Formats: sequence, C-alpha cells, structure tokens
Amino acid sequence: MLKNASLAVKLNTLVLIVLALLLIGVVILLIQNTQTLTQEIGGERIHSEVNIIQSRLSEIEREMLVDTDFVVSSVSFFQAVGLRDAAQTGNIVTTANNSLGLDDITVVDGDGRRLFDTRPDNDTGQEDVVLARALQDEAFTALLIEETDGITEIRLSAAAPIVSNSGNILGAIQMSRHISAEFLQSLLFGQDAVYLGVIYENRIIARSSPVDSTHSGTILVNDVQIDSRAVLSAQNGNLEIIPDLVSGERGVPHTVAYVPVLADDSITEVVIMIVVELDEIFSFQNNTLFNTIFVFFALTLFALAIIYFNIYRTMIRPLEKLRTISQTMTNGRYDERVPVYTSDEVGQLASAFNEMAIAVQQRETSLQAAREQAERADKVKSMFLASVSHELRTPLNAIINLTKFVGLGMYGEVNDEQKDILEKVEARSKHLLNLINDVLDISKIETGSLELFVENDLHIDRIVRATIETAQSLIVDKPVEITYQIESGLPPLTGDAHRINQIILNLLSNACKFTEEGSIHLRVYCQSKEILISINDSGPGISPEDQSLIFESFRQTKDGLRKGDGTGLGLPISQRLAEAHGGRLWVESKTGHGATFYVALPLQSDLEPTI
Amino acid sequence: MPEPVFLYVENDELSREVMRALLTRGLGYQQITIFETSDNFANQLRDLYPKPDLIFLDIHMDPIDGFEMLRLIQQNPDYQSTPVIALTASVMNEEVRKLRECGFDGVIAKPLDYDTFPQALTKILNGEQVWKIK
Repeated sequence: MLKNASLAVKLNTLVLIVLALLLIGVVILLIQNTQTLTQEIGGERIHSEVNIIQSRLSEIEREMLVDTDFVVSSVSFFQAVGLRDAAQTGNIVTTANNSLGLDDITVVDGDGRRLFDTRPDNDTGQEDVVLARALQDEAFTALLIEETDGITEIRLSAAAPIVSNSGNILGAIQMSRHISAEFLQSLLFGQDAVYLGVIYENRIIARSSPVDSTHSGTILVNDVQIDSRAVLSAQNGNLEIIPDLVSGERGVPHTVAYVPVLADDSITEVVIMIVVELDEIFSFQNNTLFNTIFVFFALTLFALAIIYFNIYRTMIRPLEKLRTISQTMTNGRYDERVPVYTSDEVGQLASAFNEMAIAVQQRETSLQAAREQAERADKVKSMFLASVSHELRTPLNAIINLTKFVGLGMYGEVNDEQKDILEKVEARSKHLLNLINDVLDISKIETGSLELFVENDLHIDRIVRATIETAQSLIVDKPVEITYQIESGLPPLTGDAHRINQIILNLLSNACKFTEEGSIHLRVYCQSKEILISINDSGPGISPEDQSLIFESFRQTKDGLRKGDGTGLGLPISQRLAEAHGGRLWVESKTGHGATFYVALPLQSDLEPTI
Repeated sequence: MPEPVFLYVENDELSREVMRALLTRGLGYQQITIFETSDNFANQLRDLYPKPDLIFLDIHMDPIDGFEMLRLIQQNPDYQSTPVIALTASVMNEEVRKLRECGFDGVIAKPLDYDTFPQALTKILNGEQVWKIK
C-alpha cells in the first residue's frame, strides 16, 4: 500500500505506528494503575463509612435506652402509670417527646393494657411482644417491623419496665424511631457520594436519596443492584463489604457494603446497604487518561514534524536534487554536480553520484573527441576516395576514348588487326574502370558512405531490357540464349536506376560468364509488395558451402578464380546495393543444376529522391 | 538551328583531345574554343568571340576551380543564358549536389562515354538539365 508513497510518508507512518503502540501501552498501564488506586481508595472509603454507620446505629440505640431510662425514672411518670392515669401519663409522655422527637411511644400498665399510645397502629403484634418482654423487668432494644396501610415500616425500638421506688413493676414503655429516609440522612451527616438503603425481604424500602422513577426496588443508585448473597450473609449478622468495585451507570465505580441492623439480636431481617460512588476518582482517572492521550498526541505531532523536517532536510531534498541532476545528465548536460550536505549514506550517495558524473563526463568528452576524430577520418576517407576516383578516372578518360577513336578510324585508317587490338585494349580499359568503380563502391559500403542517387518512377522493365541488351555481347561466342519474361503493368519503383542496373547487370554477366551452353532465363514479377527479379542459368551451379562465400568481399569460387577476370566484389556490392534499397538478394542452387539469383525490391520505399 | 559554339576549359591535354575529337571527328561540330588554363578567366571570357552556346568546365582546375569560373560566368552579362556543364571525374553524390546548388546546368562524368554522350549533348542543347551520372 505504501510502496509508492514518498520516503517521508513511509517513515512518518512507521513513527506513527511505534508511537501508537507506545500510547496503547501507556494507556493500558494507566488504566490498570488507576483501577488499583480506585480500589484501594474505594476500599478505605467503604470501611470508614461502615464504621461511621455502625457506630451511629449503636449510638442511636444507646441514646434511646438512655431516653427510656430518663422517662421511666421520672417519679410523676411512674406514679401516673401506677395510678393507671392515662391522661396524666399521656401528658408526661407528650411533654417529654417534645424534646426527644421520637416517632412512637407506647405505655402499658402492669397488666399489659395500653395506657397511652402516641400513634395508635393497626398492627401491634410486634409492639405487644416487646412490651410484654419489658414487663419481665429488663430494658432492651429491638426492631419492629409492621405493616401499615400496605407499607412496611421498620422501627428501632427501645423498651423498658416502669418500676416503682419499691421495685414493683408498674408497667412498660416502648419508644421507637422509624428507619425512614430522614433517619438514613441523619446517619450520613450530609456526606456526598454515599448512599444508604434499607433492605427488607430483598427489596429496598427506604433510601437516603430521592428515588428516580426508573429505580426499582433492587437498585439503590446508579444501577447498582442488590447482591442477594451478601444480603443473606448480612441477615445472619455478618458485615459484608464487597471486595470488588461495582460498576454502575457510565462505568462509574462504586464500593458496596451491607451492614446488618441487629438491635439486640444475632440475626435480623433488616440490612442497611451502603454505596460509595467513586465518581471523583473515576473522573480523575478519565481526565488523566484524556490528558495523557492529548499530551501524547501533541508530542506525536511535534515528533512527526521534527522527523519530517529532518528527513526533508537530510534525505528528501538531497534526493530530489539528485534526481533533478540525473535528469539534467540524461538531457546531455554533464557539468552539474549534486551538493553534498552530509557525510551520511545520502551524502555518500551524492558523492558517489558526483564521481560517476565526473567519470561519465570524462568518458563523454573522450567519446565526443573520438566521434569527432572518426568523423574527421571519415571525411578524410571520403576526400581520399574522391581524389582516387578523380586521379584514376582522368587518365582512363583519355585511354578508353582515344583508343576507341583510333579504333574507329577517326585518326586515319586502321587495319583489322590493329582494330582488333585496339578494341581489346578498350575492353580491358573499361574493365579496369569497372574494377575501380567496384573497389570504390566496396570502400564506400565498408565506410558506410555508400550513397544512392534516388529517383522516383523508375521503370524496372526498361532497366531490365537495357541490361539484357548489354549482356548480349557477353554470349556472342557461346551457344547460350537469354530469354526473359516481364509481367505487364508493374508499378514504378523508387531508387537509384544506375545501381539497380548495376545489380541486374552484375547477376546477368555472372550467369553469362559461368554458362557455357544452354539458356539464361530472366523473370520480373510482383509478389507481396515487392518486385522480384529472378535470373536462372543452366550453368554448373554453386555448392552449398560456396553459397555464402560468394557474398563475401574479394572471395570467389574455384570456378570463378579459374576464369579470372573478376574481383570477387560484384556479388557483395550487389547484395549491399539491394539492401540499401530496402531489398534483398539471395541465391538458390544445386551443384550441377544451374543457379537462380533473386533480387527483391520493395514497392514502398523509405528512400527520398536525391534531387 | 545554326551550328552551336562550344567552350571547354580543361588543363589535362588528353582530356582536351578527347572532347575535341568527340565533338569534331565524332559529331562533326566545328566551332570549339578550348582554354587550357583558368588563368585570367574573366578577361578571356570577355574577349571571347563568337560567344559560346554551351560551356564545359573541368572542376579541378588551377588557379581558380570550376565553381569560381561559374561565378565569373554568371557575373558576365553576355553569358546569362549560356548553359554551363561540369565535367568531373569525381562521382560522389555530395559533389553533384554541390554543383547543382551552385547553379550548373548539368554534369557529365569522366571518362566520357562515347555511346551516351551525344544523347546528353542533345538534351543540353535543347535546354534540359542533365544530372544522371554514370
């Protein structure tokens, strides 16, 4: 995916990945540590809360016992009870309760009959039991659980016998406090983040905080559910502190404890649930986490910027410079060098590149010199060829023509013998001219300076007919016949007429030279965008090993050498001339069955007319 | 058509003889002027009479070569319509191209060819250019 991205992106991605992994590690550690911390702090909080609640409860019990003692030891009170004076008893109790603030006070006489009740109840079963027990001459505390109008009401009650000075039991009194929301709030002293609930029969029947409509009887606050196992244990008199944090709404951790409300018993049906909300710790933990991530993020950005800047300065910019200069070199300028900023790998690369550039420049310079030298040499060679051509042709001009003129009798009568000799001299001179031309041609071919004199609209049939006419003189002494077949309507060619003539004449004169008797057949035809000229003879043929030799410069077959009168240049020149026209020249032959030479010239030529 | 007058500038003695024999003994023309050197060419041109209908110039000449002679011919108002043919033993295309660019009306290669020369001469006298070199 990143294969084609720039170096900076690759490295930055790498750094990003490393930093992200680091961040994940740090966050995990942080969460773990804060959780441990929360647990410890939460544990301490719940313990102290439990201590406070427990001591408050026993303090309230004690206070209530003191209060009852205070009422029953009043002389006017036990006298009124002794006299079974309900009105007087009610007066005294009401007056006392003005300062005590209890919820319910019940007084009975020695026979257990009610003398006074501040709040007459429907359900008095448990109250009666407590009062009956108080008549047995003991003071104690107990829980009263009563149904009033379908609502369960739990009260903490202190009961005591009413005893005269002489020790007679005159009656009994029960004073109780309703364990209500107000009661629970008084236990808390207005502390924040601590919630209390009274659990009876696995339901919360009173709570220190107002009830949300969504809260059912099993949730005290923030979705913290009652743990019924712990409640059961607490009902058996055990203090239950839940060791793990309980996660409530939004993941806020809580610590939870269940405190039995014992009164004087070892088992109880009433349990107070304490929930400490560790929201502050939770927010602290979250804040720390967010701060860490934020700082990390900022540092990452900063690090990336530094890394990018450094990479740009030490790698990307030098590499871009390197690329630009490579481009310049590609375009043929070798004098620019890459600046070397550093001695690191990039700097070394730049240095190495510069060394290479120097080497290339030197090589280019020497190549240039060599090229110029070669061009000069070529020019010299061309001039030499022109000069040789000129120097040899000038005397031949005189030799050939004057021999001819004398032979023709322009300078006076010549006899037949003289004429014959002069004709032979002329023929040899022309042969010499041809040799010179051939040598010049092969030199031009080998130096690549062969030039065609290109014309459009060449008519191959005319060229072929002219060569046949010329060749006729070569077979006058031999029983050989030249026949030909030229396809009609052949398209015109583009090329060098003289050179094409030279090719065909060369092949034709070879055929004449090696054919002692029989026929030479020439065919011109069009075949797949080429004009083909085939020259078939009934000569001795060419052996397969000689078939490639004959196209090499200055090489001749044994037959050819025996005949003399040849340079071994005709076929190589002809072949190269055909190739210079974009064509081909080849031979097909079997020893003893004659030979067929083919010339193929393209109809569509790339050649441009010379003039 | 009256008999044409030829001018031939050539420093090689036998080449001069070839041309002279070809034109007179071979083709039967009579009015041929031959300069053996290009020395004082401008004056010789000026003094020449009758004025030639056709000029053959050897290219490789001293002290001034064929190209320079052509320039002098072109500068002389008497020779504005006279065709000038180069005779050269160099057969390189480059030289032929140069001749054409300089304003020659044709080229004939040395050695002269007895069989094809009369044909070329007729063409030139008819005002055609001759550039095929053999």
